[in-house]
This record gives sequence, structure tokens and C-alpha cells, in this order.
Amino acid sequence: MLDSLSKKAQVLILLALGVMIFFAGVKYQENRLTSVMMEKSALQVEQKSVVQAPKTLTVHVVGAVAKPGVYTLEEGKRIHDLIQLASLLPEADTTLINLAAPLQDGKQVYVPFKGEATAGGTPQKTGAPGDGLININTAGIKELDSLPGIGPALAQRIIDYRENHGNFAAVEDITKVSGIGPSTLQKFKHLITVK
Amino acid sequence: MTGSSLHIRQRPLLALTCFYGLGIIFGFYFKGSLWWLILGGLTFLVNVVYFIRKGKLQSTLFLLCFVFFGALWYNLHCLPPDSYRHWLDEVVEGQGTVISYPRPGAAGLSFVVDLHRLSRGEQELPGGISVLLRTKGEAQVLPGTVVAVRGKLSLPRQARNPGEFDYRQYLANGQIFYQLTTQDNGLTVISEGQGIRTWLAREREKIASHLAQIIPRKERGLLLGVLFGDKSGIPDTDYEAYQRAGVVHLFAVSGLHVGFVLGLVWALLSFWEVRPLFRLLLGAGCLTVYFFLVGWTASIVRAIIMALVGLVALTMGKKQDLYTTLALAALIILMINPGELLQTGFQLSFVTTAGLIYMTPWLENLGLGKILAPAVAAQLAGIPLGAYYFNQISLVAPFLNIIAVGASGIIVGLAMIGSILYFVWPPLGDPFFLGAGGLLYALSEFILWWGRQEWTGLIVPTPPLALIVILYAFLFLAPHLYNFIPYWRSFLRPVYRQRILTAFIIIGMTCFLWPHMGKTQVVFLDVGQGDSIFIKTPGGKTILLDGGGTPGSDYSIGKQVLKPFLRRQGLRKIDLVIMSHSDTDHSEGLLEVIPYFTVGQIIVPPLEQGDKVEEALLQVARKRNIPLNSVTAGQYIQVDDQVRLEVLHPDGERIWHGNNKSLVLKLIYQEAEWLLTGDIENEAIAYLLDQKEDLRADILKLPHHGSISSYSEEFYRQVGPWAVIVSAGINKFNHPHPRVRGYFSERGIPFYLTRDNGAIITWSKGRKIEVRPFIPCL
Repeated sequence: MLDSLSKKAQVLILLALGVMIFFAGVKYQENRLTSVMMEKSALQVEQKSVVQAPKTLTVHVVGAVAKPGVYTLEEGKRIHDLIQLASLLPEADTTLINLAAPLQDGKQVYVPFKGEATAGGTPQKTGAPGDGLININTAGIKELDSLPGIGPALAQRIIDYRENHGNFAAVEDITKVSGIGPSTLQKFKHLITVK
Repeated sequence: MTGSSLHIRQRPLLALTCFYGLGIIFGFYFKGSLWWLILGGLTFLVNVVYFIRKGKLQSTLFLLCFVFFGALWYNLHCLPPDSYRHWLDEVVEGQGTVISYPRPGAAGLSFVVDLHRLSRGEQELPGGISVLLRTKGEAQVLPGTVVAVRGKLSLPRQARNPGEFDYRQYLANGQIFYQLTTQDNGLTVISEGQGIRTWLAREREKIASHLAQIIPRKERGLLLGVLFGDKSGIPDTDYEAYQRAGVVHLFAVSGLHVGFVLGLVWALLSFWEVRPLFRLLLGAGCLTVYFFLVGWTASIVRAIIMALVGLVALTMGKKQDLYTTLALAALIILMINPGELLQTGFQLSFVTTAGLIYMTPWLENLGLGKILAPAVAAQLAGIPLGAYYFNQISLVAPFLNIIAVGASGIIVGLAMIGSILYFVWPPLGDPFFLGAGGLLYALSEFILWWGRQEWTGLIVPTPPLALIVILYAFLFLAPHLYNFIPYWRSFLRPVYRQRILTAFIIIGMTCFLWPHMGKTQVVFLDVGQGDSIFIKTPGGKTILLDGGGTPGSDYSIGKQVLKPFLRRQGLRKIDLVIMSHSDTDHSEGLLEVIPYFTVGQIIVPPLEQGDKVEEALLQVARKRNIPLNSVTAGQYIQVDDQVRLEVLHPDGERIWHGNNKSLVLKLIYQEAEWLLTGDIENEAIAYLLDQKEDLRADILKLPHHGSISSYSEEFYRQVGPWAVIVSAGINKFNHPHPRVRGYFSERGIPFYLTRDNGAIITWSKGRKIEVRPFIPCL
């Protein structure tokens, strides 16, 4: 069949076929490369999303709960969510704590028993009961007022600062509140805590 | 023209094209670019070595290499690249050029965009893919326009029921693998395209809108169809009638039109003394212009290539070999896009042309005459494909085509002259357009009259592929049958005659006495959220139980899913239409499909006063004179010798409402049993269990789309199915319920869901029931 063609024509169609197969190979390789590249970038996206995994916070719950202990929850959860996990005891008094308050990392939450009066009426009772330190992140005006060198006005400023800038990370941070300098801090440093 | 013999040995190009096509088919069935690349490369090297050694090519070896190359080329072009699958169902942004004329569809416009750039957020992909863009807007976007798009990337709809048009495969064969659905204002035109393509597209648009002003809508749709192959202006029902009459090819721009363009050029040039080469170039130029006006379709590309080769041969004073020209046209198209080989348009265009060339001389010799012979030849060649794709065999086509082709020749001519004059000075074209429109109207009315007569077209079930191949082999050999006559004579000599007769009798008896190997088929159609079950008995009786429905949507399940499916079965009549109960997701499709078929009987559960659906059904039954019967538990319908439908629910003792009124039917064929439960819920299930009915069945269609309100372990135990089927689509009712699914998966009982599997086809020869999901499980 192909014998009827001249030798020139035979060389030509053989060459043409060779070129086409070569281009097919190139196209195959192109397809493969794109697909490998996509695979990679899809992987990167996944890795990124691992880094951006929802942040968590860890809190300690004690008091009138069936399962006290350390819990790790997603950021943005409320005390209510925590108490559900820890199973409230029937004798717990939830009117004394603000169930809607957002949880803060590294905090202890104390659920009071019925008939128990809260000190200062703060939602998140601070510190181990009886350590005597005042938590500047949770303390009310009265407690702050009781500190040496702090009057009602400064106490209010501390609270305002707390509300505007968030909690104090360290005791020293209280000096950022205008009116409280390092020298003032020296007077009550041993009396306060941030945890 | 060499008549009815191919002499493939003297036509190397024809052989190459055939083997290349064969390769594409292999490539379609056996996928894997790498393997085809290795095979192709190796055989190529062997060819080279052979050539160097012997100084010539070895034909078989070379053709083999071409087969591998065809398979490789198809795999490279028509398999979706993996790269984009990570972005499915995500919002992406891109920029590209529109390359097709917009096509109006059910949900807005769709057109093909060649994307240069595609990105998602910060990630960017190399562009260079074409996507089908779907947009709700009425934007005037013509080919050549550069657009920026923002939308969701997804896969086009695949076929979900037997016989359904596989849009995904169709697009893939055109190298389009994804669709992009624009989101709120996701389509912005960056620049109106420049260059000849956009300019021509705009002119085409001008002609179309001018036509809208001067001639009625119906003729305008037809005229745009004949002139540009734009079928969007022709109503579906009319199109079907044209199909039955076998004249739809008039709406595919092809040789007729190309011939006219060239004829016009020649006629104009005959006034001057023009050199042949110049004439050739001018003809080619005009054809290119026409090509841009129409867009890429296999038929026009084929016609243009053939015409150009013809012109070249004429200019050079050589004889044109039609088979080689046809092969060249096919080879060029298939090189550009190998997927075309699997498209209906390509196949019809080439097969009818080949048939025309091959069989006309033979038919003329038989005495059909110069006019009838080509018409019959083209029609004969098209019959197997027509039966395969459209389930139609037109009986009047050859006769109608002589008139239609002749008349449409005049129409196309008038319209083309009109278009040219329109550019000179618009009103000048009007008389020609009006004339073409008027003629077209008369022609279409004439054809439609024939097309609407039911007897003019046979409806046949889709033939198996093997039969198509046999039919074409027969058509191929037909002109040579008389060559075999001497053999027949010797075969029928008295010595043999007796033996042959005995052989025939023995074969006949065996066939007659052979146990009737009939099968009962039950197809659970995928109608989205709803039920529709089609049953076919060994005796050929057909039952349609429920018809799906899309409450609150314009989409018609009856017309879009049921009708094509039933037509693919070659049906014009449904013996039994059964409505399990009147919920729209079971009944709507039935009401839509009944008008298209002759219905033997309608079966319903006991009727209720004031049910709108039931009233509508009663009305249809009365209007079309269909007997309508309601049945209750204890009755049965003997559908066929060996097939019966037992009614298990509802019984006449109690009055049932809503879902619990659903008919529960048991289909029994010898030892095979299907339990079809409609939408019954716990109340009816408990009642059924109380009645101590025999519920055992091999296949259970779970009640109420697998809802938790029908969850009953006792019921499942009593039925004891070895496979269950749920008919449910995407829904907000949590169908099927995970607990229902869990029950069966825990016990290892196959669980088929139409949402995942598409239609679920079950059949039995009387003992075991076979199940085949239309979309295989992943």
C-alpha cells in the first residue's frame, strides 16, 4: 500500500509521524508537570490550614462540678460551655457566676456551691482560694482600693484599662495604667497576681 | 468517482485515516496516555530501523504505529487534566476570550471561553483551558470578546439514566472538561474583541436582528438555522418533526452552502478575465469568512476542506479522488480534535457523505435514476446512526429530501445574496430575505405535515453497537452481492438442497423449542428527589410506576428524563402507568409524560375527594380515553404470562391518607421478587406487619426515600432483601437517614442510592436478580 509512494514521500510521512509522536510526548510531560505543580500547591494550602487550625485555650474548673479538672476548649467559648463539659452538680449556684462570660486562657474557674457567698462578686474567682493575693485581672474596685497606694480613682482606671486593652499578662504591666509608676508598684507588688 | 469499490491499497491516505480513527476508538476504551506513548514510540523506532535497513516502509508496521498514535492523541486531548480537580466547587477567577456563539439554555446563556489565566485567591494556574461558561445575564458576548469571569468551577452534568444525553462526555470530546457558573455579576467584558472574527460575529448579529424586524419569528428561526446552523430559534417539537422527516441535516451548514458560496464567487468572477490562482484564493477567502460566521462544526469544516481540495485539483488540472479528499478532511479534523470522531455531528456528516459517494453509482445502476439515487444513498447510510442516536428511521426521507434539498438550495442562495446586499445598503437585501423567508415557511409547513404523521417514522429501540457494525458491513458489501450469485447457485444444487433444508429445519426447531430466555427488567430511574420505576416483562409489556417530579421548579422530569428514556427503549406505548400516591415527587412526571405515549391503563390507590393531582390524572384519563382503576390489597395484576404484580397495601378496611396511602406492590417473576413500597411510613408498615402478609423479596425499594420515619427493623427482617435501593436526590429531609443506611451496611447488604449511582438497573431471568448501577460505585 505504502509501496506506491515514492521514497521521498515515505521519508516525509515517517518524519511527520516522528514529529507528531515527539509533540505528543511533550504535551504529556506538560500535563504531568502542571498536575504535579497543582498537587504541590494543594499540599501547601493544606499545610497552611493546619497552621491556621482553630486556636484553643486551656482552663481549670473547680468547685461545684462533677468532673473538675483542666479542659482545653476552642477560643471564643463561654463559661457555660465549660460547665456543661464538667457537669454541674445539683448544689451548684450558677447565679453567682456569669455564665455568658468568655473564657480566658490559663484561668481557673470556680463554681460556687449554694449558700456560699462570693468574694467581690467576680465571675471568675481567682487563684486558689485563700492564697490572699489580689488578681488585678479580675478584682473589683473594692479589692483594688484596698491595695496600698491605690485609691478609688486609680482602681477605676485599672478596671478601665483592663476593659480597653485586655488582661494584664504580667504584674509589671500594671505600670502601663497612667498614674501607676514603678515606684507605686513596689508598694503592692507582693500583694497582687495576674493568675 | 470510482464507483462502488474502495481499492484501499491505492489510497494510502484513506488507510491512514481509517487506522488513525481505529486508534482513537481504542484510546476511548483503554485509557492511559503513558502506555500509548510507550507503544507508539517503540513501534516508531521499529519503523525507523526497518526503513534504514530495507530502504522502504512496511505498511502494516506503519499503520500499527498510527493506531497507537491515534489512541495517544485522543488520550492527551480528551481526558480531563488532573490539575484542576482540586479547585472543583470553588470560586475561581479568570480571564479569557470567548470562542463560541452564546447558546440559550434553561438557565441563561452558555458559551465557551478560552481562559488565559485562572486563579483562586493567591494561587494561580497556567491557563490554556477552555471552559463552558454559564451565566444568567443577557449579556451580548460575541466570539472574540475578552472577558473577566468569577464563578464556581464544576463538572458538567453526566448521564445518570440509560439513554440520557451525556453532556460531560460530549463536552470532553470537544476538549472542554469544566464548567464555570458565574456568581453575581461574575462576568465583565474587558474589551470588545478586535480582528476579523469579532467583526464578522457582529455582522452576523446585525443580520439576525434585522431579520427579526422584517420577517416573522418562526421563519427567522428557520432562516438562521439554514444560513448559520443556529438551531436555537427552532422550537423543540418542530425539531422532532423535522427529525422524523429526516431533514435536520438542512440545519447543519455543509456542502450545499459551501457550494453556494463558491458558485456565487465563480458567477461574479465570470464577468472578468481572472487567473485561476486568483480565483482559488478568492474562493478560499470567502469560505474562511463563511466559516467564521458559522463557527466550528465538523460538517462545515469537512465541506470546506473538500471544496478547497477540489479547487486545487481543478486549478492544477488533476482529477480529484473523492475518497482521498474525504479522508484528508477527516484526518485534519481528527488531528485538531480527535474527540470529534465520537461526536454525532461528525459521524453523521462523514457517514452520509461516504455513503453518497460509495452507493450512488450502484443505486443508479439499479435504476433509481440520477435524482433519487443520491438521496436514497445518503439516507441508507444514515439509517443505522439515526436509529442509534435518535431511535428514528424515517420512511419518507429520500422523497422529502429531494424536495427539501432543492428548495433549500434556492433559499440559501436567496439569503446569501440578501446578506451581501445588506452590507451594501440594508434595504437592498430585504426582498431577498423576504423571498427566502416565504419559501422557507412553505417548505417547513410541507415537511412538518409529513413529520407529524406518525407512520412516517419508525421508532426503534437503541440497537446494540455490534448490530450497527453489522449493518454497516452489510451496506458496504451490498453493491457486491451480485458477485456472490454464482456461489449461491452451486450452493443450491440438488445434492446440497436436501441437507440445507434439513439444517434449516433443525435450527428452526431448536430456536422454537429453546426455553424462553426472557428477562424481567426493573429500572429505578434517577429522577432527583423522587421515585420513578420502569418495568419491562419478558413478553415486552411495559410498566411505569411513578414519574418523579420537581415541586416548585420549571424543570420537567417527564420531558427531560422519562421521555428520552422511554423513547430509547423504542416505546410508543406504555401498557400500565401506576401512581403509588399523589405526592408531586411521584406524580408530576407521570402527568407530563402521559401525553407523549399511548397508555394501556392507569392504576391508582383508592381515590380521595379533593386531591388535585388525582383530579388532574382523572381528567387526562378521561380526555385520552384511558381506563383508570384503583386497586387495594389482595388484588393482583397479571401483567404477563409469568409476571404478576401483587398489591399488598392499602387495604379497603381502613382509610389511609398521604404517604401511608401509597401502593405497596410486589413484582413476581418466577422466583425473583421485588418489593416496591412507595412512600409508606411507620403506621402503614406496622399495619402491614400485623396483616401477616408475605413480605419476603429479593430486592427492596426502601419506603419513603430511606426516611427515618419508615425505619423498621422488623420490616427489614421480614422482607429479608439481599439488596436495597433508595430513590433520593439532594434534599433537605436527610433522606436517606444515616440510621437506615447503617442498618444495611452493618449487615453487609448492598445499598444502592440513585443520588450516588444514577439509575439502578436490575434484571432477572427468573431466579437470581442482577443489579447494575448506571454510575459504578467509587
